[in-house]
Amino acid sequence: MTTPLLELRNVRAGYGTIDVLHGVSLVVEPGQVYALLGPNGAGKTTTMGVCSGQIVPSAGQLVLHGREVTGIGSDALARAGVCLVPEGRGVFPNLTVAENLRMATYAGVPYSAVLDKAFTQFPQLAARRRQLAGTLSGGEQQMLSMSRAMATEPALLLLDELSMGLAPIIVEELYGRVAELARGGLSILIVEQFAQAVLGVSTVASIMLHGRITRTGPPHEVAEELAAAYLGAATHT
Amino acid sequence: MSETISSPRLQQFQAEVDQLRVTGGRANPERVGQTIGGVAIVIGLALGIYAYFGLSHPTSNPLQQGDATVVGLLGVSFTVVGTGLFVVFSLTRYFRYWLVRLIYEQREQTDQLAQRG
Repeated sequence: MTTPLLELRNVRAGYGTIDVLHGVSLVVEPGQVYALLGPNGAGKTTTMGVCSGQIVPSAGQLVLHGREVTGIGSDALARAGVCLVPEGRGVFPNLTVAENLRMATYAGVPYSAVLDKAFTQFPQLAARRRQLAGTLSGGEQQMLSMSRAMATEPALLLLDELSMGLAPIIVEELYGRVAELARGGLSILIVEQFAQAVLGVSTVASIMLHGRITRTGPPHEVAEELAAAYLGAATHT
Repeated sequence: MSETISSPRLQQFQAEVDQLRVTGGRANPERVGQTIGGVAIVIGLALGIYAYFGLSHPTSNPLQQGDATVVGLLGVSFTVVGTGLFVVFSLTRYFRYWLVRLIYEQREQTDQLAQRG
């Protein structure tokens, strides 16, 4: 019996007076790649917000490696090794690629090591190191965002809608990198709307609908129920 | 898997999690201020009513009526401060939500523009 790296216990959370999550429970074991799937508006990004400490639950518990840390700040979680790659483009558009990577040195990793690691993982970034991040293509921005996250040597990586707005071939390349990271033993929680991109990489998957997790299981089993869940959700709303 | 669990990074993570100082942030930090404000309003009203009906009205003793005036003023102060707290925290709560909504819509619009471009 191992201690889970991350646990949400019956979490309720939302924005202002509106609850988005209505009792979400999930467990990410060490070395696991957990895919959280669901249609738009299901509460996936809010779940990520809770896991990264950006949103404080109104009820329930956030547990890290067996210790309850509900209400902890996102900065403390980031320093401890919980790293979020946010949806959209998680880069500073007015800074160059190199300057964006310099921002990842907050975790104590030397700048040269950050650059070295990022350019080894994504060689195309090396050629654009002096280019403003906002002028990169969508895929390159996502690569920069990921490489910045990896440079901090996280214990748990949270990936929010990596595929958003990207061409399928770029998505495939990015998830190829994610698979490499997973093989290296990194624990990853992935939130995705487009399930096919992530099911091949994950070791466990869940379906989230209307702020609740409705099904958890092996990816191939969850995949079979996914279409029905999405269509059911579409007709329900 | 067992290699992963005993990896030095995970041990370091465990140590860092153990050292975290959990301050216990709240989901709706304004709720406490609103509650305090509401309670102060009720206490103020109760003091005012008690000052008139409980202290001042049943007696013609000027000393006791003076006391009643002090208690009444205290009640008024409670109500004024309580109302202020309640309004400030209600507005903060409303504007927090409004700001989040504004940021969200702005991001949506930017994404749509970027997709069109």
